[in-house]
Amino acid sequence: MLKIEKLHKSYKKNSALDGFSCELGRGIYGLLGPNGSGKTTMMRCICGLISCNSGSIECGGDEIGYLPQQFGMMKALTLYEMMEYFATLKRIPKTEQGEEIERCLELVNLSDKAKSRVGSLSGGMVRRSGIAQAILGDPSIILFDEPTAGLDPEERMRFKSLLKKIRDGKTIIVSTHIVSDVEAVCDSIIIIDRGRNIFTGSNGEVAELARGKAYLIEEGQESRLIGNYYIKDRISRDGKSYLYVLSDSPVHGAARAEAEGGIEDGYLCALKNI
Amino acid sequence: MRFEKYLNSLTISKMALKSLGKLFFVPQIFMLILSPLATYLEFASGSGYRICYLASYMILQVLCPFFSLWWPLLGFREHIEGGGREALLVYKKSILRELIEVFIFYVLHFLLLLLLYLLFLDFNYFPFLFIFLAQSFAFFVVSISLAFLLKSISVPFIVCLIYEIFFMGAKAPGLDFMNMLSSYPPEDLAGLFFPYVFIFVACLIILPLAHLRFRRL
Repeated sequence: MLKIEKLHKSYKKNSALDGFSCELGRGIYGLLGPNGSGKTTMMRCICGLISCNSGSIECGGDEIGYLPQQFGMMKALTLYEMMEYFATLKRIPKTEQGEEIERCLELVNLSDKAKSRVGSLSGGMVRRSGIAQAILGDPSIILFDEPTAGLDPEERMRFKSLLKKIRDGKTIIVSTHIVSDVEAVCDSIIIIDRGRNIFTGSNGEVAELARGKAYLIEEGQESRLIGNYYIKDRISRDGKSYLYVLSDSPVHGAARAEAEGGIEDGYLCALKNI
Repeated sequence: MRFEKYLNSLTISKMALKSLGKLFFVPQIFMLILSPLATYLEFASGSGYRICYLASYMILQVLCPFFSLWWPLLGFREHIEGGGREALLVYKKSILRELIEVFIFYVLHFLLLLLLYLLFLDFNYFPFLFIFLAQSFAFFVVSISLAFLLKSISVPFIVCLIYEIFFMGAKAPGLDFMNMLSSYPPEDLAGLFFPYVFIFVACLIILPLAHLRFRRL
């Protein structure tokens, strides 16, 4: 169990975390929020990298694995040697290191690159090696900060499969601003904005936030919009231009959007207070 | 348990040095090959024993303290300013023990250098061993303190280089209280007390504070 209570963290006059609270059991959690919402600060607080102004974090003494936003190092070492370095830092016994490193490289599909120098790996491979070091030693809490940055679509899918493989008995937090990264793999989603937890719920509950609120209106008819609304997209159909709108008030004369966007729409509704 | 912890630490130091690649050999090239070779060539060209001895001492004053920074700063560059620093800091908050191990490794190389000078050139610098070690230790402590505070490895190198140029090259007057370097072997070791103790005390104050700063992002 990871329990976070009323975390406050400020950098000079800017408040990065403003009373953030949540309780996380075993499972995969998506931490969704726009840039600058406090996701990375929250991750760093959990890891103990930065101290908070107030609040508490209880992680029951569990081992933590962490993939930061930026990862790329030790270019002169081979991938296997780099993993060995991390295994030593994590105090994995020498006799177990070989097997554990091979297991993690296999999971991220980098076994064939074990003897390659880290400096010769592509950006995507370096990112995957970062994922491998985070899961090394089988920690109970794993934090991924923007794990799919620099990964191609196939690698993103592989990352989702990896999460499903390693999830047993773990608390995994995936911090991202890309909704598709957390769809279909997370048990729960936490939406963070301006340092606050504005919503926590299952995928279905997040999608439910947008139920009945998505509309298509003809471009130029924005005057029909009243109350709180957000123009999400512009769509061309039958030679006409339409706006995909999320609105908390009914839009007269507008058609309901046929395929409401699910988690993404719900996320936007939570963010924009719709 | 304690033995395993120590072995772990040595493994980390060894791998940090390995991560240097070819840069690992730079101090050895300068200290164990180029410096003695230059002295030997000077000797072979007909310069007297005394001149070569003094010239060699001056070279050691310049090279040896400076290279005490090389392996610690470059070997642990990733921990100090690298792209994966955050991840490393989560798993290991302090690298002080490993930095000291690497410094000891450097000292062993330095002792080997002095032995080479003694065996092949009959230049005995062991009476001044304290001076060289104190200089190297001071440079090491100041540089890692700066690295910890500023999260940079280039600034310590620049500061140490400026110190050497200022006190060896320019011979700044009025700043004797902090000048550890000298072109000539000192005749009176007691006279070195003030700059060395001053710097030693400053190091003892700066390092723990800098280390505390380093353990946080």
